[in-house]
Amino acid sequence: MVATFNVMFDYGGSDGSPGNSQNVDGLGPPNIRFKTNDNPTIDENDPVPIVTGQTKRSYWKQIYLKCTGAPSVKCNNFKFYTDGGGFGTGITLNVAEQFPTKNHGSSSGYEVATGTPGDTGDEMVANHAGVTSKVDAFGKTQGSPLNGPSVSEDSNQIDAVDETTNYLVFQLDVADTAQPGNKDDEDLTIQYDEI
Amino acid sequence: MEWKAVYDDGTSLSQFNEDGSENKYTDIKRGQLSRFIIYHGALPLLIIHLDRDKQLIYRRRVAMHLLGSKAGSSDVVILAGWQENRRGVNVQCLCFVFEDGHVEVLDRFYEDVGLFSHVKFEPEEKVGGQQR
Repeated sequence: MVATFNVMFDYGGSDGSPGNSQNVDGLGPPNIRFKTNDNPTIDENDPVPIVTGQTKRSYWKQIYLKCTGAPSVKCNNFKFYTDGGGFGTGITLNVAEQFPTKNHGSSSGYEVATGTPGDTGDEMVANHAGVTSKVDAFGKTQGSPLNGPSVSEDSNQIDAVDETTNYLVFQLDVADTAQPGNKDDEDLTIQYDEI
Repeated sequence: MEWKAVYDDGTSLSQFNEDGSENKYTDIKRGQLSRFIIYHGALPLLIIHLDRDKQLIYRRRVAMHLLGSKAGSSDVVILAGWQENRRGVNVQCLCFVFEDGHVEVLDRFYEDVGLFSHVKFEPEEKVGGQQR
């Protein structure tokens, strides 16, 4: 049958053991909000502030696909890309170039998002043990995608319900040149092959 | 869209049996394959003719939208084609069938166009040969 997936992110808990797994379909639209707190709520609380001479950050978000309907054989070749747009001057959505481990039996790559609520999140390359480099997500387009998230299930493929991709880790940086207010949605996409 | 594999002796294997059960892409007997048909409803939309040297390639390529105006929806392209090793050169014919019914035909995968980028070949799909 045709595979189906939920878009999920983990939050809370402790490193390697998330407290909650959130299906974004239950939140919106909009269904993901980058904020200065480690919760899934779509609200006006804990925005990323604009502060002269500083860059403030959202808490990082660890997003993955979870299989809810198994494919006939397998799904693989996952790639991430955007519409190449962006949230405007002074705002950068970063995505990690590494994919911390997440599968149906382990969340060993999970790191609790940290920072100061209402002020800033801790920078992900310096503070997430599974992230060593990042790129501007909006530099990743259909013609130049990020080759991942990878899969750490058996045979590096998804072929059963509850199997997942590894984490895609995102963080929003806000410089003092940004304009305040809620930003329009931008298109983020994961492409994969199924047989 | 569904597929049907037709063999040299006229028998065939459909993706779905009359009882609703499903046959797998990996169930296809490649050594006897003469045609691979993509159906849109009851009508054949694309027929791939094959011989012993041509190895079938098939994928359902899905673009799942996480965020934005299309969040929660997916776009699907069906890839069906073949590749063969022709005197040491890898030759491919790749058909990409879009949801609106139009078909784009390429002679190779293109990394700079995401929908047309490489698949991860299954062992039985590989033929070798120098890439053009």
